[in-house]
Amino acid sequence: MTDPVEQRLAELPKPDVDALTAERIRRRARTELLAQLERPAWARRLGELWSRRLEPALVAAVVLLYAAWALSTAGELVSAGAQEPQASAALVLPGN
Amino acid sequence: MLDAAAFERLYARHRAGLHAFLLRMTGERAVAEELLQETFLRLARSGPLLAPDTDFCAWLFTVARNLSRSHRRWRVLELGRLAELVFAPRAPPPSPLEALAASDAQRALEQALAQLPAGDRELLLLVGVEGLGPTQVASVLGLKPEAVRQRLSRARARLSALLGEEQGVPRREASGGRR
Repeated sequence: MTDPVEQRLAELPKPDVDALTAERIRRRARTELLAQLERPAWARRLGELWSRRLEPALVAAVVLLYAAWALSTAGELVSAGAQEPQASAALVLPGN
Repeated sequence: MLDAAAFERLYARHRAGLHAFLLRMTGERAVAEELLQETFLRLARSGPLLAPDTDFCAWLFTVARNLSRSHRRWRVLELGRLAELVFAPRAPPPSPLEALAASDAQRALEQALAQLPAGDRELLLLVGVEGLGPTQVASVLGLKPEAVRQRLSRARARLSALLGEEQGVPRREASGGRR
């Protein structure tokens, strides 16, 4: 490493977490790992497929459906609002 | 496949490096600890499914980097933080790392690192402090090795300029020598 800046960076300390925190994190992660390892391989793959592919796809589909519904409803409201003056004029004219 | 013994080895080998990286990226000890825990929980959840030839070091730093970026985005969205940024912009608070610095030079380096844009900082930390290779860094950042080299050169120049400023050297002189 010849760059003086990188040389200085390499000398910076790498502060660790305190021993209690390190042990707490290790235990939690280890428990999670052991729980994962106890599950059958197909269940792990299915879980991975769900969280990486199926769930995002489902959320995207719901968002798209909702956006389409909101746009179509907004369009209907706008067009109904545009027709309303004519309808009310038609209603007023016979009375006169 | 990741088993319990491999997990213990990875935890012992990478815990301090990941914590130091997260601490320098977030500037807050509690947040760094929380993100460190989340990094290893993700390793525990996904590890058994990873390919045997996975570079776990690059994988762990990729997760840690993504978590720190997400944290930064959410932090900006916090109302109080937003008001602080808009109405009372100020210098970043002293990093907890400054207290650990063994010398004034290290303290100046920590301060300069904290002032760098996050993209430059993460690159310099991965290469300079953690000692990751070019391929690993490219994998962590999702870039091509050539792009990493270019960004690294710019990041070094910015850091040198900041260090030059703190030591009383004008910015143009400090950065001009490297361009």
